[in-house]
Amino acid sequence: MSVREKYNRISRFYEFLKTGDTRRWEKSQREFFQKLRGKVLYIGIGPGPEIANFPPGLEIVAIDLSEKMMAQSQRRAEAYSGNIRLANMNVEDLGFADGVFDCVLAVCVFCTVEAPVKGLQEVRRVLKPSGKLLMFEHVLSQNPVYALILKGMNLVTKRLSGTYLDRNTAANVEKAGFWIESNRNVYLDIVKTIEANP
Amino acid sequence: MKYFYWDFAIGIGAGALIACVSAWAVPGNIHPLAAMFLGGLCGMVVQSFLSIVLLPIFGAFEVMIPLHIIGMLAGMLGGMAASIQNAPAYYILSAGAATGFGVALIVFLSNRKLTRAA
Repeated sequence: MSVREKYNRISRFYEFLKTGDTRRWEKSQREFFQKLRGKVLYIGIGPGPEIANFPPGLEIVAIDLSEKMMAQSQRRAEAYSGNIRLANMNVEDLGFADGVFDCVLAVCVFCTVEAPVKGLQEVRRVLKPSGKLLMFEHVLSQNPVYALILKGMNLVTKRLSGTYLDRNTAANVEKAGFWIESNRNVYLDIVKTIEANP
Repeated sequence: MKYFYWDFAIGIGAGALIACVSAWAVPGNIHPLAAMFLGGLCGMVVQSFLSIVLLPIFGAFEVMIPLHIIGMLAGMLGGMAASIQNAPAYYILSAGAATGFGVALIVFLSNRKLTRAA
């Protein structure tokens, strides 16, 4: 089953499962999203709970692989006090010209993308040379106890939703040719904010 | 801050519950080491159910990381308690709760250190 099919399947209860995370990370996301500027590409909008944390007035193109997830974000996108255009698209094959976005935002996406480095290379292609990649992601901990737990949980999550808990996303960002400006911990060293330049 | 007390309450409650369930589930007439092993397994099963119930409310990683550790430790403790003849219920309950509190405290301090250092 593809990631798209998995997310279409879990779309009915995905937002319920993420309620706790959405509440926990609200403050960190509000602060982090203040860095968004210009024309923004938002990867993996899902049901769109993060829209509430966006600063007002942005011009956003939001994409998602799952059409069922994206359908749930329609109401929130319409209520946003800026402009959000939705598109059904895979980050590994973005249908945009080179260097058109000032910012690319990914929230818990590159744990799921099947070829993360390829996806990040596509992100780098569509970013302006002066643009910025902002990521709010979970990664594998450097602490051996936490890492062991995440690797155990990974056996279940990768089958259920295609979510990998054992990825080193910062290393993937560098492999894709980005320069990491900041890499901060939000919860332990598992949930992070990463800012990178092309 | 609003989750600070909840994280400790979940740790204490889960520790007490897991220790009690493990003590009840593990047979009392087996070797203490085997009882400890079985208790740890039982604790992991109980914490899996608890995690599924609690993660939509309190957040996936914030629930699952401490509960995995509590499940193992409080389960082992409950298993060992089962092998001790006539271990009082309040002893198992309070030892499990103390384990849960200790793990919640360690994870809290670890989180504070890691998020401040970044």
